[in-house]
Amino acid sequence: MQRGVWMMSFSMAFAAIRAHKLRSSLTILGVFVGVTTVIWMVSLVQGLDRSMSRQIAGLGANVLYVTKFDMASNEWGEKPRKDFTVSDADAIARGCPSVSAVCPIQSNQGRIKFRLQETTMIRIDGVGASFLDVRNWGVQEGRFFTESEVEAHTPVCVIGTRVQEALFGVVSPLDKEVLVEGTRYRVIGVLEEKGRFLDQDRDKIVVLPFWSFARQFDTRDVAGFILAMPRDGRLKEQAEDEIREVLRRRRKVPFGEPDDFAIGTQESLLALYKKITGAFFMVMVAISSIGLLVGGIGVMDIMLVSVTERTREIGIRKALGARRADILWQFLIEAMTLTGVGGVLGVGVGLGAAKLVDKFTPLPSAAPLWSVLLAVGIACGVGLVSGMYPAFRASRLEPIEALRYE
Amino acid sequence: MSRFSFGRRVAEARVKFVEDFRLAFGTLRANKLRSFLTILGTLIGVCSIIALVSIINGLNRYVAKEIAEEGSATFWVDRFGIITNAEEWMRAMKRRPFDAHDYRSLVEGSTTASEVTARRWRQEGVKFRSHRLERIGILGVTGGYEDTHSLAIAEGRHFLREEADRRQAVVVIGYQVRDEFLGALDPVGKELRIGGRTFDVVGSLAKRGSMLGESQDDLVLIPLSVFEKSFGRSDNLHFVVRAADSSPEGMETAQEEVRAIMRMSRGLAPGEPDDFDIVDSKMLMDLYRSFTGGFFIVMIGIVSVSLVVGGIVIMNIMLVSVTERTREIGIRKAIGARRSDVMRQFLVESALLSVAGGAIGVALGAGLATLIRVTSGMPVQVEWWSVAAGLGLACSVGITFGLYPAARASRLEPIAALRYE
Repeated sequence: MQRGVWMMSFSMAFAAIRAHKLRSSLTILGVFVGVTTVIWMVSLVQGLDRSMSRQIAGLGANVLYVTKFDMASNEWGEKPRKDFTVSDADAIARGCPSVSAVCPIQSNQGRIKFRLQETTMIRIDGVGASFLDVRNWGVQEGRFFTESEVEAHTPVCVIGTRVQEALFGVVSPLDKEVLVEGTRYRVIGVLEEKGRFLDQDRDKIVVLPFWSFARQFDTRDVAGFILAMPRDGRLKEQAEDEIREVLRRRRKVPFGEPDDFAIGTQESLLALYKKITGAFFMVMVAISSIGLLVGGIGVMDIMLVSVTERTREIGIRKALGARRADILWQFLIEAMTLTGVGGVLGVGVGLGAAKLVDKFTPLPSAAPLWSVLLAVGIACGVGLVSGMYPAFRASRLEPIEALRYE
Repeated sequence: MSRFSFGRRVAEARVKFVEDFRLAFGTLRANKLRSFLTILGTLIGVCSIIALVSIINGLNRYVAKEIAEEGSATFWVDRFGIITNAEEWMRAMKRRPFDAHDYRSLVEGSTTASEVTARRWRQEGVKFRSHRLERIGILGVTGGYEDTHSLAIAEGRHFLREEADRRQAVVVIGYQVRDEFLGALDPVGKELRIGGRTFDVVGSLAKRGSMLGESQDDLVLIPLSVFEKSFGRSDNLHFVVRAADSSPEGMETAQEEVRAIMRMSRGLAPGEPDDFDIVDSKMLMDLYRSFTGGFFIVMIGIVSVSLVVGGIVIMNIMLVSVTERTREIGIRKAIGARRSDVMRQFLVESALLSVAGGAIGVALGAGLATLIRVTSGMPVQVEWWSVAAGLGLACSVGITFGLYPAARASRLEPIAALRYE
């Protein structure tokens, strides 16, 4: 078809839509409501996905988690496994050339007190000096403790921003003495703000040197888990293999037996998240598209009416030499224009609603460009599918019969 | 006089109504395809609502049944309780594990409990002859456990209190273990090896099925005393208590008593928080409800959107119908039809469209629910209130969205309508 014919098809479609304003706007409304719901739902799902990915990436892009149990499986509650110790971490640091930094971590909970101010129960971590490297974190004020301070059981600590706000307000916390569960520590730094992860506020934290922590909470040399940073993002798998080798040897796992520990990456966390939520999201999006389906039926209905009403017009066009394809396209374009307009409006309002939700509730939302294009595309597709039968019916009309139609 | 006139008005109204229906049916039949498509919108909406409500209810019922199966008269005393976030977990980890002293205090001190079972649990390989099953749940329980658990026996018997006290190596095996090891053989008297010790099978459990995708049949029960001898005293000792009086008040009294005994046994000072948790099936159910309730409401809300769209379709088609029949309306008005007559005619038509859609939707939704029950085994059941709500919603959608077209039709001037081409 030449361009002129296309232009004519469009102008005819618009004229037909303008001629029946109320009818067209109701048809568009149906599609619009459907598309709005879908877009809103997709934005919500995308937003949740994206904020999750970002948070997981924030845990450290390449860091490897060495844990006693695989988080993604139900090994928990199986027979108890041997604890990791600081010497395991040291062995990894010595025996794995692809690993650049290793940090044992032990956790507890407690309250921090400064003069009369006291925090709620917050996280207390005992960590090695390479904590910042493996955690992908930094200090915004002061400094982090050194290897020798860890070894010497030095009573120093680094606090999260929420702790700083709660205890010190605008006063500088550096060199102040705080009580961590009753033991005196000197604040030497403040961690950068990290934000929330799931329902955890990661800035409500105080970090102690590993051995100071061990002495206070009597955890000896046991590490809850170990973080290891590969020398390079590409060496991740190699680093994983080396760590596995070292740990199997140290934990005396016989050849052929499965590991009695787990090495996880942020990808495995992400995969776990996708596994848990994937099906659920699919269901939500599928349910929200039922409305769009009904909207499409409305379009088909109205197009059939339109074809019947314009039987004489079709007869005249055919008598004047219009071919089947011309008539077919005329009605298809009309249907697609109806749904396309509904789609564009729906995307607009759906995005607006998603933005509102993003702003006023804790639910995040994000609409990537592809989802917008997809929604408009689907709307036009709905028009194409539901316009197909009426248009086909119109194109098959015999000119003589059509002209005789009353 | 007044009674007579009232009777006549009723009779007249009935005649009118019958006529309205006949007119509506006639029109709908005249435009079969169009009517079908119009109905289809409401149909899909109602069908989705019915199916969704049935599935959600089936899921709720399924969970309720599974939870109730754990016993409405029993409750658990646990170091962990219900944990929903990492902080609670950290706190629970710091609690002192339960020990035999706690158990003795409960058994000796409680007057409102009819049975207290102590349990330990771990996963271990189980061996029969040369065949080995990995990761079987080994449950070590004290004698009398059959009173605190709903475990039906398929063959043989439960092990006895005396056997447990004498530390006899006896085992009751779950359906899956029995099935994979023995097939059709009689399990009683066979010998299994668990953790390097030989156990005599005294009974096997009836099939319990799976809960949320986890098999509940891959377990064996052995006396707690033997469990401790084989695997040591793990720190996951917990208790299951059966209240003598299973009424809600009885449960509460028993729980209060158990709490008091546990606090004493663990040496908690007054004012100190409990370092253990008591969990019963009602709490589990509440937890499930709080997790899923909001989500289910959102889902039903989203599905209802399609019903609104269906209403819009009805309105649109009714408007077309009014326009097409302008001359007909003019003629009816010219020979004496009043506004209300025309109004009713079109309202009945739109209501008929939506109710027809609703009725077919209910039938299809119910069919879908039944299909899901048959294929998945979930106790999906169509709720009568959801049927009523579906039909009511469909009807009100028809009337609401039919109101404007009907009003427009009724307001047509007869002269203008007759002149309409």
